[in-house]
Amino acid sequence: MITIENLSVEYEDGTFALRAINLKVCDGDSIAILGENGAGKTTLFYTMLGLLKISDGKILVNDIELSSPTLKQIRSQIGLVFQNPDDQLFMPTVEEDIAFGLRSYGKSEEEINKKIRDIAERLGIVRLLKKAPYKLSGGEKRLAALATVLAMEPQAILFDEPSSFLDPRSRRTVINLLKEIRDTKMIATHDIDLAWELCDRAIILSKGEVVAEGSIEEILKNENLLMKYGFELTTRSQTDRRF
Amino acid sequence: MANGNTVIHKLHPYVKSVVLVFYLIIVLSVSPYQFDRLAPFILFPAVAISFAEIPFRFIFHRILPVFPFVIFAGLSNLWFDRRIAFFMDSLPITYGAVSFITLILKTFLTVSAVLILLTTTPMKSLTDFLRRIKIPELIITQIMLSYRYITLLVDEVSVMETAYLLRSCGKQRIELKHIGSFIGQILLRSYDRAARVAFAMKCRGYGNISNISSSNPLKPVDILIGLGMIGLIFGLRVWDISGVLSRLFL
Repeated sequence: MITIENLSVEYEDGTFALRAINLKVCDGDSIAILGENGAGKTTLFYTMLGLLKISDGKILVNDIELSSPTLKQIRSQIGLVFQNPDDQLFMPTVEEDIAFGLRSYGKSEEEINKKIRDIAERLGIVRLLKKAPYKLSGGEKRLAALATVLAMEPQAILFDEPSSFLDPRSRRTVINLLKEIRDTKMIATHDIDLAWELCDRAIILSKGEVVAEGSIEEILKNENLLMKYGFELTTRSQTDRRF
Repeated sequence: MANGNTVIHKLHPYVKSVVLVFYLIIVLSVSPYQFDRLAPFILFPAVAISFAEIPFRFIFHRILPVFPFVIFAGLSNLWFDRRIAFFMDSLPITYGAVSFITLILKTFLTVSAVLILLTTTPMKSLTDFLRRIKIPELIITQIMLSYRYITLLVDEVSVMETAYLLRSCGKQRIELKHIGSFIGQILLRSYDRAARVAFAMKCRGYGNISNISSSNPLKPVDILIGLGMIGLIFGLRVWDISGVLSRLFL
């Protein structure tokens, strides 16, 4: 379980990136973090992994408070899939990239090889293992980036705009894969249809503050709310209203 | 190309790396005034390129960018060392010219040998070797990141250049007056991306990478081939093969 209590993150110039965020994420939850560009979605994820400094409040992961001594433990429990896979794939081959996190946590070579094989088969990327990340297509990079995180078997996974840069077919592949993941998920996205399909709860962030929270239906069927925070109505909500 | 199936590809990476280091030392140890002694060493890259089935053009294109720097560095030899070494017919050849040719030859031999190793050996095997010889993990990570990052940087430059040229009324290249801001932007974007890559590394526990053991054990035949190659290179250095051949045929 992840508990965020009164979390604020302030930049050096005094502006708030996040202000007094409260959120409780139970095991198995799937939560959409919605918001315009610059609303603080990525900042929230970075802060949850200790990449940005907390100005006020606290983050608890399974009752362990995020702090310097617990960083390693918390990062092994929460995985982050970056918006741009090029930021995430930094090793010469996909295979080495998947192995990177496992090696960092001291797994044996035998275990690493087994996990690489398992995850590659699960995501259908065995043929990509020996390839250099820069040679992959956008969809393949996304799958490879996902593999690097899934291989570490975190209890919760944070997805930052998982459908960005993808064509419709690759987007569908990624959505289907995310559906299969039973772990706790937090998905930062502008893609309302994706949120509808994958999440059961949603929060809307605006200028670093939570401005709405509720079930996915409550949030995504509230036309006024969506329009106010810069979203277009989903095709599904429109269809629901039509019939 | 590093995952080929030729004899050179199959040779153990440790053996290839050790032979390469020995080859580099031997080639660099040749006196700057004995360019004829370098001739037999062409055998090594020539045979390796042929056995590894690497197109010569591939290696040649990658060596070319190095030559302007080497030629620039070697030009001073031509200017400062004007003592006459020998006459070719009536044309005096200076020691400066001889050392200049030696420098070019050494560059060709050493860079092509390194390129052959990189082309026939997966990066993972090379980094395994570096770990085995106790090179600090920080340096190995730097090498791996550089290898990956260069391609990202090239992409970044290419995207910016395209964006520039599309809005520059048919100009063929970036104008001098814009080079400063262009480079500045590349550096800023690179810095930004480097920060995000560092975040990605931290998220996956960077900081305590353990040493890894190679899953590819060293076989006796690899050791024998390695010793044979080292012996051959040593022999080429000790015995003046080119001198013997020239005495026989000239």
